[in-house]
Amino acid sequence: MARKRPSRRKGAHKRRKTQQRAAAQKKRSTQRPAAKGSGSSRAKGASRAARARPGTRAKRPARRYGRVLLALGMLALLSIGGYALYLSAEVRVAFDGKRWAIPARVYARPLELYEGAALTREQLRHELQILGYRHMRQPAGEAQWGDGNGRFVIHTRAFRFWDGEQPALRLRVGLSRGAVSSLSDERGRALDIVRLEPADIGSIYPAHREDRVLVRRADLPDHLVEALLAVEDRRFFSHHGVDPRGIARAFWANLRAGGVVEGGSTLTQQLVKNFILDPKRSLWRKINEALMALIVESRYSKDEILEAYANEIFLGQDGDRAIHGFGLAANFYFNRPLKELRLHEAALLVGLVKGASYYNPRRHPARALERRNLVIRQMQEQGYIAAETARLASALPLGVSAKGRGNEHRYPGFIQLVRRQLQADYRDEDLTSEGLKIFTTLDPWDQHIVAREVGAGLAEIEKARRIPGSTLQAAVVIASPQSGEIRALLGDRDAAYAGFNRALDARRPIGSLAKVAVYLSALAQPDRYTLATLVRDEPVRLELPNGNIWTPQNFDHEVHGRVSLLTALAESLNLAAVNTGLEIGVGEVVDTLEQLGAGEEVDAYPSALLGAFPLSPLDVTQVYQTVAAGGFRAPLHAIREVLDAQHQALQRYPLEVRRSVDPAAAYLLTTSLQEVVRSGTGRSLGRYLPASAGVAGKTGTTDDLRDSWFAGFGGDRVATVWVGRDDNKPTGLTGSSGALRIFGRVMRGLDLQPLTPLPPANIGFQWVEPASGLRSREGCEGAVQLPFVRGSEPAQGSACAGKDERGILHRLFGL
Amino acid sequence: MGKWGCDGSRPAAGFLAKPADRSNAGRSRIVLLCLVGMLLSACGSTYRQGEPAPVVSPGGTAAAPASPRRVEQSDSVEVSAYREPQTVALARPAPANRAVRNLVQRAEAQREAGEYAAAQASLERALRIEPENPDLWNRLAHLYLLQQSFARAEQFAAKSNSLLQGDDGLAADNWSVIAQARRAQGDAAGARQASERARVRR
Repeated sequence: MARKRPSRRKGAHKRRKTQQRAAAQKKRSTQRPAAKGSGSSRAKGASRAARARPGTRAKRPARRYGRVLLALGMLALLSIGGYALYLSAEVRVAFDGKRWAIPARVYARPLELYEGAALTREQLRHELQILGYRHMRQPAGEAQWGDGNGRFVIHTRAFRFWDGEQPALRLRVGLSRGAVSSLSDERGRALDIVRLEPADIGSIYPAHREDRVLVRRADLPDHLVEALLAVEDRRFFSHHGVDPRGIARAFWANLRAGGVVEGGSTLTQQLVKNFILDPKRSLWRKINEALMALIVESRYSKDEILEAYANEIFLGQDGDRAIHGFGLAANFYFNRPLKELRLHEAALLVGLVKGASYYNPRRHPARALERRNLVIRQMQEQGYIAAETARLASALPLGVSAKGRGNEHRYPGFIQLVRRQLQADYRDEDLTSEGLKIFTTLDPWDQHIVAREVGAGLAEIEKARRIPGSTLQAAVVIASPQSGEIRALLGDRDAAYAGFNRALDARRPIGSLAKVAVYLSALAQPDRYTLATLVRDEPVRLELPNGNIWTPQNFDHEVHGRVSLLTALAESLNLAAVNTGLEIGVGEVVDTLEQLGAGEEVDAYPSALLGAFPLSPLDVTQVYQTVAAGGFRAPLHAIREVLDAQHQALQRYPLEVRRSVDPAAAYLLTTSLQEVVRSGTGRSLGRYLPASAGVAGKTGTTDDLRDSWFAGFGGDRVATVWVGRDDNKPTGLTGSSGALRIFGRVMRGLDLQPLTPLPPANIGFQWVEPASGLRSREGCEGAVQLPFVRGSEPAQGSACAGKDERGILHRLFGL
Repeated sequence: MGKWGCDGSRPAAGFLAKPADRSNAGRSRIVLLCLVGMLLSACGSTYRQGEPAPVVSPGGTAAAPASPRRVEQSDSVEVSAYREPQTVALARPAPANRAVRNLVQRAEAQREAGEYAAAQASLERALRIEPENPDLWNRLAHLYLLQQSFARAEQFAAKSNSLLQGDDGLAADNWSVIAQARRAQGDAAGARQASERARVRR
């Protein structure tokens, strides 16, 4: 598996540019038929020896001379033969042992289409765009789509899913009011459910190395091969590895032009040079290259050589990623599979062979266009295409994908997560070279909205608060609450930035987000704590083990006395949380945090009750996922299946759930988190989402306003947002003036489903008087109806008796 | 334990086993028999001892019906054709959502063919559509039980229970899965407790 080839770095394209020039210069050496010649001279030598033996003894000196000659000839033959053997072995090692390093390709989740699936037009268009489907008035072939009268016509590509092949389909998809209203095949027969192929969202390639998508000979479109032959090697199918006529023609053409305009190097020679030889230019290397080209031709078929060439050729540089082969180049420049390229697109790729950097269509579109049209012209001149076809193709624009960078760089943060989760099970070299296919949970639409809203939201906050532009940073994680599948992940405000990933690696104090653990621990003891229990929002003065005195304060620096647990959480009162946490025991609270899935062990200091410990946004999302799923932790994951290069399933990462905290306590906590958003510190979320969404969430703010957090969930998404600065300086933002706004923008953009938590069987509802925590009844002034673990309702009744006025808050909790 | 109890040591009277079960009984141990549901009031579960619990079923890749055409064929699979019924008696209303219904049928066919990983994947697809559908979690619990992945079976059944509202038949079935899983994991006391809860729910 070890790849025996010189690693080519950024200089590769330069070398390639010089290649044609070199080819023209080396013709003299290559014209000498070397390897083939050795066979015939051996025959000659043998016959001379045969003749010499019966020769007369009269000419002694001559015979002696002849013997010396013979010996020298034998020696030369031996060494030439030996050298040919050596080269042949070298070729065999390089070609037979050739295994391209095929980086793992990473796919998004497939979009599931079925009647009732939430899907907007905008969303479906986005999906088709990242799939590289062409928008046509009349879709005719695979990977084309059209729309009209509220109906989409989509011709899909065949795709090998991990559980089987889905053939190409012709779908009719009706959309109305943000959902799929009908789904049928071309004959109008209704379909239950169909998944679109998953979008290719990137690859896992080693740093500073090459990336490629392997193609087979059969995958090479005819016009691509024709263009290649027309421009690079006209007589490819008739020469034996070296083309003297081509060299002569190139020499003549260059002479006439007064410079290098054409190369005489065959495809085989180019391949040999890339495969085997070191890049130093020398006559000796030229000779070797020609010899080896002859050997290659004798050992391998033209189709094999063509296939190897098509996968090896360097066609562009993308940051630290070298684009190798036509397969990846089609993705890179057109966001399409190779076989879907049209004539002018294939011609552009062939044009790049001469100099991928010089003719870079994104940087030098005019040059690229000229080169492409030259390729098309040559195809016409050599009779591959008609003049009219050539004229039409030459008139077309380059058609290079508009974004300039395709899907490869849209999801760097998520790909980092995928890579990290895979590293638990796979060796690095397997990921970067074995051609694995990784099917992930990424929802490109979620990711798109996150990227869009974080950019716009941070800019808006900076402007409104006169914060210097681009000083704020952010991280966002969105997951599915019940399954723990990660739908989107952003590690930098610039979604395309592939460096430090704050969603995974920025561990910051979580502040009041930790209060969920305090109150969950409390509510898990229904005989001691209910939502109506009055907790003490009273001053705290603690001597810590290191001798320091800890005197936490409320955000408003006031003391609120005895307040209901519900209010204490809704208003995020620090003193109430500390007092409650100390009553339960810090150890208990920290245990709860671990049950919820906080990744690191948290030290059981009292300050932990106020979140004075660092977690990453991913860890926080895990904690809130467990709450959102009613106490069932589903480990957050980004991968569903892994296939090997032959489409065999290597591994499936099945859904996992673990009952981690008491479902009744999780339910009570969830209703309190809804109260946070309805009336507490998270109420400004109402600017973004309607009250009917019933979002549950919690703000978090750390000392001196350094970190702004919001974690929350609706019916179908749980998400964490962090906003802060990389230098850890204060931002002036609270959880609600920073992260909450991003959360609101994102969830508004995603059409969050309403949250309607299901009360476990042991939950009942009871009217209570919040101020006193006493049992009340419907109609009493200020009475609210709260959920209780059955049997934990307050026993003592309030003063309200006999009256039947309905309290103004009687509709709390929708009841 | 009452006469309807789920005790693997003695097949309960009144167990409505299908012929296929009986033939299996010779080489496979009946671990648990439970009677649940409103109509037939019986559910039996069997598993083959020592049967591996494949994470990836090798045959599943090629045979799994992925195209809608293939799915239509799976519609015709009848309950009586099953060789290893798990939840024979549990009266399950067909899923209202046709996509979920399709995937559930597909999962059933895959389970019947022994393609457990594929069946799981189909149910997980269905769960992405209806994540709070307790029937789907229950089906996954049974699949794990079948593969002797007992800890998972217990968790999935508990998850199913947490999403239930007043479906005693399904609740009883979940408790019986939990009882089986606990017993298999050596937690006899926990198993008895769960069996009792299954009995109460019935």
